[in-house]
Amino acid sequence: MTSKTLNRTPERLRILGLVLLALVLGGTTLLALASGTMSLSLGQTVGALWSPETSDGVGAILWEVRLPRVALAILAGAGLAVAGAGTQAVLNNPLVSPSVLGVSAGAAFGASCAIIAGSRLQFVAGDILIALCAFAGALCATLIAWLVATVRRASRETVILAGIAVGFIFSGATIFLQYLAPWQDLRAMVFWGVGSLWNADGSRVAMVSLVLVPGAVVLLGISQKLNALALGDETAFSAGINVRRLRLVTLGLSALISAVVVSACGAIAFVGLIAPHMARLIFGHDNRWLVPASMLTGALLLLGADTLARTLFAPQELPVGVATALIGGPFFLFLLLRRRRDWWGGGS
Amino acid sequence: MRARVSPAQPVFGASVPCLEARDLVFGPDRRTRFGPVSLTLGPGGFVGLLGPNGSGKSTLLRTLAGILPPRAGALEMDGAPLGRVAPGHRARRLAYVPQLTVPAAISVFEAVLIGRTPRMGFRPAPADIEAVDRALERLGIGAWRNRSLEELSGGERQAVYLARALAQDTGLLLLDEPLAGLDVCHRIEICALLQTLCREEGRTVVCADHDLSLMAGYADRLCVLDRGQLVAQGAAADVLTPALLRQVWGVEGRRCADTGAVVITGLAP
Repeated sequence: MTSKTLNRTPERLRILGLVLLALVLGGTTLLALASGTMSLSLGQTVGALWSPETSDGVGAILWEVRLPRVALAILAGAGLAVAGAGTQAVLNNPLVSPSVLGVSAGAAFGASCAIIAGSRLQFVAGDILIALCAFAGALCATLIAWLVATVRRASRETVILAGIAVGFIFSGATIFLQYLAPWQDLRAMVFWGVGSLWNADGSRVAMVSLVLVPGAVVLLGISQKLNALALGDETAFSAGINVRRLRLVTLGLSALISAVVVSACGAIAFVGLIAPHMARLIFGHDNRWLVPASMLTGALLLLGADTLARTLFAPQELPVGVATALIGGPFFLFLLLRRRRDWWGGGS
Repeated sequence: MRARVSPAQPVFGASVPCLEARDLVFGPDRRTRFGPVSLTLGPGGFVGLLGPNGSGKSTLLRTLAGILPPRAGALEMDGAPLGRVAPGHRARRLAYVPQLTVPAAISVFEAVLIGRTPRMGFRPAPADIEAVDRALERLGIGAWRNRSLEELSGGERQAVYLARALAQDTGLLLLDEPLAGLDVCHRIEICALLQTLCREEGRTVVCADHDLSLMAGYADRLCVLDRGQLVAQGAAADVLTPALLRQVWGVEGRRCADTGAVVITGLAP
């Protein structure tokens, strides 16, 4: 798709591309911090960030409300995107994202369990408890999918199909819980499922970065090996790659990263799927570039979508999952139409 | 695509591994079993692996490459069980080219660079880039360097896969029907290249194919598989007898003593 022009992009141009992308992300961050119910000028924003105590209330709004939210948007976007890039590379399939591995469905089930158990046992499950249960649910679903797939030697097709099947099972269980739930719990479950960043706080930011930072470093470290999978498992094996271990490590890290993101902000659609594609348009298929580029693209995408979602209809707020789906769907159709060959051709 | 042979290439000699199979039982899964087969490969020599469809050529090659575990018997590389050899060490000594090639969205250069994986770090060194370009040149496909693998035909893709294995700079090459999708001219060119790899650089090449005449003409030694059994091995003149052609392929034919070509005259009665 992009190879004609872009795979031979010289290294210096790619570095320049990453720097530019980072600068755009920085600018968008400032813009996102400045915009909201109380609109600030860029000068005010920078000033209040520098010295939060001096200006009346502005510092507090920035540091306690907007900054956590913007930080979570950046981290979550980067996390979903890098997990998507890793999953797509290791399964050699551009149509997958960690949600295909059952992560989202597992997280939704875990969160629903926490919500319904909370109301049955006469306490309201706290946000952090829900997040932890979602995390456990996501890992549980991925683990089941992986164990099923290993019975059939964990080929890429079995991993994908097992993930989809396990996802259906967990979705079914979630719908069953929703069917049983009283209306206020049902509302909480549906709201959680859409994905939003409104409840961003310091603990969520810390939780996501604790998993994301080491995970992304490891993924970047093995990105050269991921390149070797492009000609198929046997060629990679012949080049000295332990394909099964590489697949386990990459899928495990991708699942961990996306599980922590999904448990912090709900199932945000499409970022993990399309951010790597957007990055590929510019940086080509080399995973050494794609991993950092996807992170920047995903961060930019989610930050942009969230800023639009909370300002377009202010003071009403659109769930960010709706915004990403509305941006992501058309972009995916655009990719589909400009591609000459059929996607499954490159898959197996 | 025009294969070229240049004299200044690394000479393998001591680094050519010996692959030895003793009473090797092999199979695509636990139920299907072929063999036992006893076979010594290398150091040096062009081995043609012949046999009808389903005779176990691919399965044997994949077992020799370490992809499939031996179901019984011993398979050793330089005296150590192949399964115990560290993947990186194995990949610096043995390269395998699968029969099935897939169109990936990467460029030809990136595809061939995969062969350098066991020798390079995070960033390809100048020596790696050089090895890739040398492999492309040897197959005469340097002009495709920046083309996408998706744009290539099946036969062209096979040449890229072969270049990928050459870039790996191994003493032992296991090739599963690398000539299958190629026209007659390219088949001869690649056979000549494989012969050069063996004769001038001391490498060992095992090549599975269906073209009896071509293999008889270029290979130093032929191995014939029939229903998983190694029914004959040796020089073409000794192996490709009318009796064997009848027994293994069910055809009437003979090998011309002067041209070396195998002429098939029809199905065996």
